[in-house]
Amino acid sequence: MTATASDGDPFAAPGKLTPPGAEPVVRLRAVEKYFGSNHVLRGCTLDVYPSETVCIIGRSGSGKSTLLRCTNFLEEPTAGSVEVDGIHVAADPLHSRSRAHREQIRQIRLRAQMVFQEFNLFPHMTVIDNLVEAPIRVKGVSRADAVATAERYLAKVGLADKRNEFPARLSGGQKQRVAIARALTMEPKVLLFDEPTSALDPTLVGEVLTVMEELAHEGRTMVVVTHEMSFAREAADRVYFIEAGEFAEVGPPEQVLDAPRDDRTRQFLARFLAQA
Amino acid sequence: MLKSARGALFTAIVIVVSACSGPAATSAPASVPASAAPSTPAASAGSAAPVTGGLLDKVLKAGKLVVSTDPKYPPQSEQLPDGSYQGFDIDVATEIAKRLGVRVEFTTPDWSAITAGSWAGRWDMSVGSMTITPDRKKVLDFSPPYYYTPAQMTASKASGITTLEGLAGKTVCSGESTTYDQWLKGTLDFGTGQPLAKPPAGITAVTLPTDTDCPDQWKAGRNDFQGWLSSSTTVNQAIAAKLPLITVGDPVFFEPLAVAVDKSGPPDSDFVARLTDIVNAMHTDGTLTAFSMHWFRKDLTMAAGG
Amino acid sequence: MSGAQHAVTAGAIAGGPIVEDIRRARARATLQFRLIFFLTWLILVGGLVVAIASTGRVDPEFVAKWAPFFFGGVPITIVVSILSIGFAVMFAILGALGRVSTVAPIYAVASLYVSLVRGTPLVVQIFFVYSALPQFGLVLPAIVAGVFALSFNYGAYMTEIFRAGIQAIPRGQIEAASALAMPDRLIMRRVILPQAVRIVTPAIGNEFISMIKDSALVSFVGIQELFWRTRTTGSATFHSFESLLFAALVYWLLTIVFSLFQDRLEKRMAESDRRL
Repeated sequence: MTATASDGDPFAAPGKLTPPGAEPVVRLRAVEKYFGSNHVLRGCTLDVYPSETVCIIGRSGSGKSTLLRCTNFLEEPTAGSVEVDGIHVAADPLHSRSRAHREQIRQIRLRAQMVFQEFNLFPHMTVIDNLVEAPIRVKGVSRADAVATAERYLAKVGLADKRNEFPARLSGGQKQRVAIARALTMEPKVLLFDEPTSALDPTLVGEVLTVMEELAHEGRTMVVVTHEMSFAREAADRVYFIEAGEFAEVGPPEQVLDAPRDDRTRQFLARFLAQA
Repeated sequence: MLKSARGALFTAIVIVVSACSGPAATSAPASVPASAAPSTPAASAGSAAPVTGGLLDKVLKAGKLVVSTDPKYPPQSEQLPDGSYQGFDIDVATEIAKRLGVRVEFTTPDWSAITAGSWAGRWDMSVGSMTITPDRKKVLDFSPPYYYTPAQMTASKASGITTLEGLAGKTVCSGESTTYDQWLKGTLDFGTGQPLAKPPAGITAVTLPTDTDCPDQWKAGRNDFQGWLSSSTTVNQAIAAKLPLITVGDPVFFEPLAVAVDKSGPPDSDFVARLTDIVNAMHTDGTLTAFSMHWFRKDLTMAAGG
Repeated sequence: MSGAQHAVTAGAIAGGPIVEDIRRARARATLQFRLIFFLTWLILVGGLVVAIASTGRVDPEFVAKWAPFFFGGVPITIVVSILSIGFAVMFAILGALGRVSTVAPIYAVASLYVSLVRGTPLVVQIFFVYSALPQFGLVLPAIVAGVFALSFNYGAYMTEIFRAGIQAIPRGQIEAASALAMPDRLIMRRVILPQAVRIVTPAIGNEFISMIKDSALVSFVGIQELFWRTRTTGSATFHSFESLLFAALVYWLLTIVFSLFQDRLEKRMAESDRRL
């Protein structure tokens, strides 16, 4: 069931690197989320085209992380629908989900890999094992192929020599880069970043942002929830500002960050002046 | 990886342990009876083949007789530092096995488990100086008595009591599940119809897990009870070990002690018949008397008293 | 700056003498502590030994004659303990999985297991397995009955330990594994349980030390381990005092030895978790 243009994201447009004629790879339609009686998401519609980088900014509690986590169903939306790479799943808050639907979610997760704020590496496995665990056991890739792919991405994030280390021995920035490599090794269609640098010591933020910018410029499809305005300016095709569960302003970074049209955006940015 | 290594280790240990799970079973007693009577070859009352699936069948097929024993009772049964057993009961059991044409193996369950029957086939026979009583007859089959022991009352030196009557109104200790306990409570019945002497009036009976625990308490200086009732052989052991007690009065009863077999086990009628023949033969040819003289220094194999 | 401040600064800059002095002082303090510790033990234990010897009830000849026989029970005690704790761990893992299950009947069975087994005395359970099960047609050799009863019992207690270990795993681990599209069973097997086992290992060590003492209960079903041997010989020879004292001493020594092992193990585990 593909969405028609009329109920789509009015702000969405193919990014700079999007191949011509491509359809959006992520379509969120009127996604709502209640936590108890707390109406955290009040209906968000968002399209992401292939090879685009989209940033979502907002204050804590605005619902930005919740929206991202609804995309790969770490949170169950209360209403609305999620579509990734043509796989469409509607909200099922009462959890009457049939086997077929659970399989659909599994398919979505294979295509939309997430990088977490707290890294969430498996501490009892070495770096290389962290990377190949899911490809081997979930995707059925042979160990040799998985290792080859993993080593390639590990080299890409600059940590080839940490292959046999345990996560406890790595710095925060290194752990997050490993986490990015882990997500990449699954060869996803889109990468979801949930405040990837918020838990990092400021001196380590740079190495992670560098990797993310590189990925964006290479043409990876990325949805990034972040406070790092510098990254948004540098890499985003579009910025969504979310406030109280709704998108208050959407547009290219030059508009949303430097010349906001909405008062709410202005107020939010005033608070973050130091990071501008 | 860790799991399979652990699994292999466990399997290995289980195999090793179950191979030597029994006690250090030696079939020969440590000491040979002083005058070993020439043992008759395995007498078979009926040369008929044993009942298939019966106890005799099982024992002959296995080539061994598993006998329960409680090695806390020299001279009937005790263990040596090398783990082997010796004693009157041990000799008797070994001889019975020999006459059946199989080897003997000993196992050491709890006494209460032995007297309760329902051995679940864990051992074949009990030679444990067990008294025949109607209650026990309900769950066990007995051979003819192989000897008789007097039950001897004792009093602690600390109590100052010197006569049987002196124990009236006092507390007397005995072992759990023993005939001594039953006699003290007035419930002992050999089923012979012969009246037994009554215990002194107003006695309180207490028990400890095993007979010898009673005088041991006196040795330790505890005086929760003033009297102890047990077999005269056990009493003599305690006196020989210089425990603080004296005998009081004549033996209060004589009990017939027999070999026991589990009623609820495999069909045992042919086994018991064979056993009966063997025990009778051991009486007639003097084997039992020889054992008795060696271990008790007197012949307890004749019925005496009531 | 004053002369003293000069000296301190000089020392701090050089890094040498003052650091050495501190290290040496600390080593001396540790040594002193250890010395007094051993001395105190020596005095207390020595006092105990003198008190016992002065009762005049200890017959050294008896002990010398029977010590080898008593020691012969130690391997059986150790083997019974090791087997029992091993099977107890298996019961505990099953129990814990049941206790965290969302499937009602599984949760009910696991809860019943824990409640029933923790609610009846261990010695009763040993007798039950040995004597009562044959009534249902299940005749186990004495040692199998003993090991089974011990491990079934300890498994119930350790179920709660493992359950706590499983629930101690941070949510982020499960989220990351889910985001990698790993199915629940795989997550439990590859992510949660391996980490939980490492968390509970010290607790299992404690249980093992407890098990060494409880293994004495299998003497009630005729297994000739350490306690059985000392009790039987003690009864037969009217030397219960020395025999049981001997048994207590040996159990104490076993406990000390295995406690040392456990300390070493815990230290090694802490080291491997140590961050750079």
